[in-house]
Amino acid sequence: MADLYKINPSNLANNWSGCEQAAEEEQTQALLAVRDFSFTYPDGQHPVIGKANFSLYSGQVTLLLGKSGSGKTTLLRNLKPVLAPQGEKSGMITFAGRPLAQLSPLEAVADIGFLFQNPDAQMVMETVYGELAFGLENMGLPAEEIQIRIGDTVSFCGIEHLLEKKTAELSGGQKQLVNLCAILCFRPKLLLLDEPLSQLDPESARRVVEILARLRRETSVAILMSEQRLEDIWSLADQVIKIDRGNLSFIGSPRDFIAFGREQQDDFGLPLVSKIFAKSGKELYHLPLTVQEGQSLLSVWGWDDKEIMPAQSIAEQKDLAAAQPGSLLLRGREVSFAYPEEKKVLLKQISLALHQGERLVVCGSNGAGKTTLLGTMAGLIKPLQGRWQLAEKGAGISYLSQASQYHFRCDTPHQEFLAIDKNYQEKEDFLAIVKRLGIDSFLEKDLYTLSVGQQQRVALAMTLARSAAVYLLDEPTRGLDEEIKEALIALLRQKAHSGVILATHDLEFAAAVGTSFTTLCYGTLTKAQSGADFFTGRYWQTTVGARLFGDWAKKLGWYNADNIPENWG
Amino acid sequence: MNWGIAKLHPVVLLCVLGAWLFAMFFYAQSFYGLLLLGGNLFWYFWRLGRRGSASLKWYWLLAVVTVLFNLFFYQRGREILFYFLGRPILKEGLIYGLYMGALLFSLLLFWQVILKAFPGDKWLWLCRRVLPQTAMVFLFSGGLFARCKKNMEEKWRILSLKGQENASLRERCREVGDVLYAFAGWSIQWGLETVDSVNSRGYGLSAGSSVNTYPWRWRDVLSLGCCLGAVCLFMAGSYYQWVAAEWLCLLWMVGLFIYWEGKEGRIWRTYTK
Repeated sequence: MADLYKINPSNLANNWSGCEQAAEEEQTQALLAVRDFSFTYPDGQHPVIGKANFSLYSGQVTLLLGKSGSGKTTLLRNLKPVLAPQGEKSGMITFAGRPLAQLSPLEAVADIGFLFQNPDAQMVMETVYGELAFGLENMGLPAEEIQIRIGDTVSFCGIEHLLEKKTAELSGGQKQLVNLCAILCFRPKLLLLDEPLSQLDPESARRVVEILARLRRETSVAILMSEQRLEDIWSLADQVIKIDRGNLSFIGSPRDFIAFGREQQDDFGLPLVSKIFAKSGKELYHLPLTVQEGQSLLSVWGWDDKEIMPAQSIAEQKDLAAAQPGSLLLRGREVSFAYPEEKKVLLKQISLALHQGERLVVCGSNGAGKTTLLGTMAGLIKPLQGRWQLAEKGAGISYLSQASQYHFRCDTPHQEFLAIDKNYQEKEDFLAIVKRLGIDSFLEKDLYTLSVGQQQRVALAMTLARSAAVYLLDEPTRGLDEEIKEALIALLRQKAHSGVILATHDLEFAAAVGTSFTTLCYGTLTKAQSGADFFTGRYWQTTVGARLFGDWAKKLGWYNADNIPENWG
Repeated sequence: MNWGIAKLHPVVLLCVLGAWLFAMFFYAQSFYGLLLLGGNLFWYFWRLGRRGSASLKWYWLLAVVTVLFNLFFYQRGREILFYFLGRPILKEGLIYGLYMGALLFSLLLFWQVILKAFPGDKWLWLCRRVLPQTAMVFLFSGGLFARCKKNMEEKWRILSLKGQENASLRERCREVGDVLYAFAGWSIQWGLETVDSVNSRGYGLSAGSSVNTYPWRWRDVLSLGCCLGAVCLFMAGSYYQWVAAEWLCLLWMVGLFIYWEGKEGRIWRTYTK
């Protein structure tokens, strides 16, 4: 095991630009080959995709990395003929040795599957069975063949129990599983996945990843996947493609990608485990990719027998910070909410107090009631019992909905900001938010044409720019890349005179931003804990840092890349 | 959960619903209108149960808006009731408005019932070969209606959160306009996402097939016979100026629904016990 992490000098001479190498490969070997492909939107002055060269092979999983708005979705859509956007194209894309344009429409549909980001918008039929049959019926397959394919695919994906259900009754995670299953019914050769995990809770995301892992292990399906939540996927990836403003800046293996990032001093997209080991203070050429590899390396380093020095623990500092709250901002007493028609009690006599400077993170699975809880706080949903009360009358609440589009009423971000504050361009605070979230580059663009991540940034800016005592943020990191998440963390930390309540599935973000943490489970909130207690006390649903260090994490209070000290190794 | 007439063969179901819709538009007489409205109300609550009453207030609102619109803008009549802002308010406008409001209300109930009674797969089975685009539009509108309603409510609540507490009536009206404008734009955007999903799964590329098979059963034949009987009775009534035949065939139709739904409900209750 130790040999794996020894420095390999021959690899240091690797050529990171795989484009030339890819161009030399035989097109017939690759399932999909992209050669000098450029794409410009009709109203665009610059190409959105510039001279892309890469190949995808059967049985391989390729990860497409890039900041939000870098052109990932545009590239993916161009690989599926029926979804290819209008615009000027040059270069060549071949699929199984034939130009993509020469595929028959039915071949293009059946052989290339596309999974979208939004699980809701993809569904058309009333029942899960109807949804799975929909595509196969479109192909004109006989009823017996459709039944065989559905039966085969649902047992592969493990969703037999959902067949009878109505699509409207499914959770977000279940919907995405059904959508994936509906595509797999075609038995595609290539799967294109556009941020399929971005709206799922960790457990649902892992179920989707498990299916992808099984596809990689047991079939020859090639997978190209763009994603911002990478931690679960690194173990699957055979190839990584990095896209920067439409240009492919890296193509290679995940290990080469880590080395490339270190060489370029750019840690964007690097696995958290790698980042943690990069600051271990030890010289490593091969940084571990996954938690399992990291734990093996710790064993090699003799951490199994290591004696933990109390001085290393920083958990106490965290606890201290959490134990000094400011004045009371919001209080709720015995708030309950239920959907009588569905006989479902979502909130059971919840009592909670939020103080100045506190950033409370509410975790919980899909459908646990987090959005309902925030909705009752914001006044969007009337509780059946109890109420939320602001300590200071007239102090405002600023609310970010899970769906950023709900916030928009104008055509451009600039108009939206003007609607909030006519003089926003003269206000430094407002402009600082706009700049930090990187909105200044698309201020005048049509909101409809922005990517999900860009729309989310605009909604975030609109929420944070309002002066309020309490900020309620429901899934604030949806579609955001690492850089913007860091900017958001900094902005939230600046809200020292306000309180923030976040409902999120993004545990790494939660760990970085929160001061206190709670879980909504079975309608009740667990006791608020400090980050160290919360993340090291959980076993399955916790951060990469806490999983990596296991029992040591508890002793040291290490649970997040930020609070693990330099030279810890 | 009971299915009632939704279990009928798609062709029969289409005939029954077609006859019902035809009756709603062509029986321009208050008694028939009330009878059909009663039938729709029964059917609506039978299908939606208590949940139905929550949506009902919005349908009432639309119906009232229709009445008021006709009251203020309908100018073809002779009997002036009073003047409002210098504008004559006519008795004919009031009656016509009430009729139109009731018809709209009845249609909205009917639409909701169709959404429940006519599942998307049945509609696709029926129409995809002859009217693929229409089948898709119908299928979309079913899901879109529910999604739009949810989105509209959510959007309205979120946008109205933002500093409208002290707004004047004029500002609030402008706000309503802005929200509707934004909602229309985003609804199209959401619809386009669904269209992409449907296209990527090959809709319309071939004549298509169906995993569902709908055999003809005795009650399908009986229902179709009842429908044809009602139509014959209506035509005979019209020809011989026999007024009783018109309302009799309407009663026949309403009774058919009640019978089928009631019978299905009884089966399910027995099964549940």
